[in-house]
Amino acid sequence: MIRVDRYDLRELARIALLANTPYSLYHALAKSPPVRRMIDTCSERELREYYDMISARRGRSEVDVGLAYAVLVALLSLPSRRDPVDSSRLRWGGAIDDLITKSATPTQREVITFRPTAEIRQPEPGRLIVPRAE
Amino acid sequence: MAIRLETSKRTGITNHQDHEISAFNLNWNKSIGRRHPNARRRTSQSALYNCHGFTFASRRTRIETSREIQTILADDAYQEVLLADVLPGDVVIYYSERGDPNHSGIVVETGGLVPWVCSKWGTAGEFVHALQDCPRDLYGPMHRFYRCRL
Repeated sequence: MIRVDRYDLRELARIALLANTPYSLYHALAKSPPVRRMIDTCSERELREYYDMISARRGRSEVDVGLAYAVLVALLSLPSRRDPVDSSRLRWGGAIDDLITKSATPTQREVITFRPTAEIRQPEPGRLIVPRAE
Repeated sequence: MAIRLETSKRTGITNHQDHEISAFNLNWNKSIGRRHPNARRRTSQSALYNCHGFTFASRRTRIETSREIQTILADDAYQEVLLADVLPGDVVIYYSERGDPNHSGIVVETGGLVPWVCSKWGTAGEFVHALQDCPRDLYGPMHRFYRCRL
């Protein structure tokens, strides 16, 4: 369940109103406590359902817009997300989607180890190799 | 809606004009002063232009991507200026940790401890404020000054 109180809603609206660019909006939302909580506690299905509901709403206020962007950022930032999200419903959604996709952190790491190999040639038994004089 | 906007080298700059100001915005805008008591409000709110539109497009439209700002800085021969050399009329750009230009403004006063800047805060109005006295949590921890050398 998504839990946001009045203070959170006002803070999200403040961020949406003061942001000058999609980047500033994304960076501020990604650091905000409500979005961090959504990422930690909500499932992809919950976030998706809430995003669908709030982004389909007509006559959205700044509180709705701030919350919609917050849910979108949380949804796009989920490490376990499987399905694509229609970010185009919000004006800066596409730009935020691009930003998150480009700055995605890897979820798996494979360490490639380098093992040096050397071929050692042994002289045939019974033969004496004498180095040539220069 | 967009307007035709070009750099001095006639490179087109992508932009966008908004017009809607909601009742929430009108009410909320009054409370900004409480968070920044030393910032002086210069104009009421407008969705038509953002900070970069104020700084680089004479308040006519919104410029919203990093790439466009980079294009303007390059085409219009902006050069970085050190804090000690900053003069009124220079431009300040606030950057995120990743280097995205999140905010910009025009220096209006120097000579004190820090320069004073006029800038537009999102859809809120223009404010005259000390360099650091703006919503830095949104606009980023770094800033650089530039002077146009056209």
